[in-house]
Amino acid sequence: MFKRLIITVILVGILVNIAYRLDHLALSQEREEELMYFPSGYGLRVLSLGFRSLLADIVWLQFIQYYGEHRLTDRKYTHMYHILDILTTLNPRFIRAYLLGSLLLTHDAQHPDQAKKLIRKGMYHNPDTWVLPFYYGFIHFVFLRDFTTAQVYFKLAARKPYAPDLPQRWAAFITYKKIGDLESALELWLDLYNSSQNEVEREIARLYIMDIKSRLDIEYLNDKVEVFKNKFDRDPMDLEELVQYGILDSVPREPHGENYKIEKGKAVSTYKRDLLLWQKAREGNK
Amino acid sequence: MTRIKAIALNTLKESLRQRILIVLVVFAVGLIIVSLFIGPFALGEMPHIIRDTGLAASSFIGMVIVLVIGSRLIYHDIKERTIYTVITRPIRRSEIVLGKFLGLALLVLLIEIGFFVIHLLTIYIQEGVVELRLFIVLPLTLLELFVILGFLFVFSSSSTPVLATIMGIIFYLVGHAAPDIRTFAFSMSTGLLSVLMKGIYYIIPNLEYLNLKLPIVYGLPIYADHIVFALCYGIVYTVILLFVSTILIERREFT
Repeated sequence: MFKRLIITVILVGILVNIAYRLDHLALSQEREEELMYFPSGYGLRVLSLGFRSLLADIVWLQFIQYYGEHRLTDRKYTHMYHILDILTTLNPRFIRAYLLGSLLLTHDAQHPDQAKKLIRKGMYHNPDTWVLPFYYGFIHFVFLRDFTTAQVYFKLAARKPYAPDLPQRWAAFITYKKIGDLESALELWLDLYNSSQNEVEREIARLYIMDIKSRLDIEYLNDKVEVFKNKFDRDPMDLEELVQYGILDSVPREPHGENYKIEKGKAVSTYKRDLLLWQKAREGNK
Repeated sequence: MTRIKAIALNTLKESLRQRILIVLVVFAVGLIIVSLFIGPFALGEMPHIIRDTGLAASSFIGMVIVLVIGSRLIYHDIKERTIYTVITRPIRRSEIVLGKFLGLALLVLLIEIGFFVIHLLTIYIQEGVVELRLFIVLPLTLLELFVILGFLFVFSSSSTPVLATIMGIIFYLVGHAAPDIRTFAFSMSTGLLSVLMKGIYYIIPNLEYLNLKLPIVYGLPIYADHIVFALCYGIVYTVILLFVSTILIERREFT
């Protein structure tokens, strides 16, 4: 009896050891391969045997895991669209997948084309959902700076049942030529931040809010630097000097908690931004 | 009627003796694990996930119970020769089949109600809401299980439990693939194959009629006429299968 028990314990030990080794054997390669052979959504749909919704939930958890893993490591999201496509084929009503997915595809994966494709699929399957055309317009407004398309989709969202005044307000912003204003972009991100229940969406919105606030601060500080230059005919040594001469009441702190500084006669942020697409879009617009 | 009731109650008691109700504990533990451990990773989708998991688990575990018990019930009686003690009495074979079916159906009903109550409680503890809308799924899930049980009765009346189980699984798979079979059949141009495919489509059980899990969980509109027709479909299909099963068992000679 005792002998058998010991043998069983040893065998379990060996089993755990083998499992541990297998888990650590080229883990990343396995993960990529696993996703490469992830079947198509339609294939899974047929095989789901009435459990489509549950299968979509499982793919959702896998998507979150995929995003988390790559965010912490290489920040490459090659299969993100593929997973979201499968998920939304299994359950075309999974609105959160379209919303969060499109934001992450644009912001993190730098693939606004895939984000647009995903939301278009969502709009096709959920024609009465206002938030999908709103996000479509949002991506065009904030990331792609395509204000004409953005306005069309904001208006479309406003006409959907149970739509709040949010899309109508944004369509009006564009009509009154407030496009491109940092203030209006800030307000849009604040709207998204306040209306979203999802922590990842809120985190992305928070990043952009801080970025825009910082840009607004820099615009304001550079105006004051110009005043200083005109008055003293030289660059200020630092921002404190503006306060010293009564041009500025106090030096604002960056939204990230750091301090602005003067570089080559201009106020600059010390924060290293990670909003590549946003910057590209702005530069492209200039 | 008294005879059918006696057989049904006896079948229920026999099944309960196999400690089958332990599945309720498995179900409850499973749901608690899902709600406690998966919740933080679901990014706001937990309400959907807990509902999907509960409904899918109650359907899946119910199916396993039906396959395990249903496939052996009649075969076991024939093999163990316990059926002789019944057929020698003034009782019709169709009454035996019906009694056994009702006994097992009662067991499935008890278990599914147990699942439903546990599911509601889990949602209530998590969100503080009583999700009575989920109740719509209960009769439909039961009918889905009864249809498969009917198939098992048909095959276990004339073959072995293994074959009956395999056939039960096949009809379960085919039943859920029915909408795809329909698409295939109706996309074909006219001809013998098209007629054949359409015939097959209407004969196989379309279990997707009885599957309203997704619209229930996502709060989509559900139409009363669909529910009524789906319930009728399930009932009529089960009755046909029981009818075939009684024919088969009446034709069988016990030696």
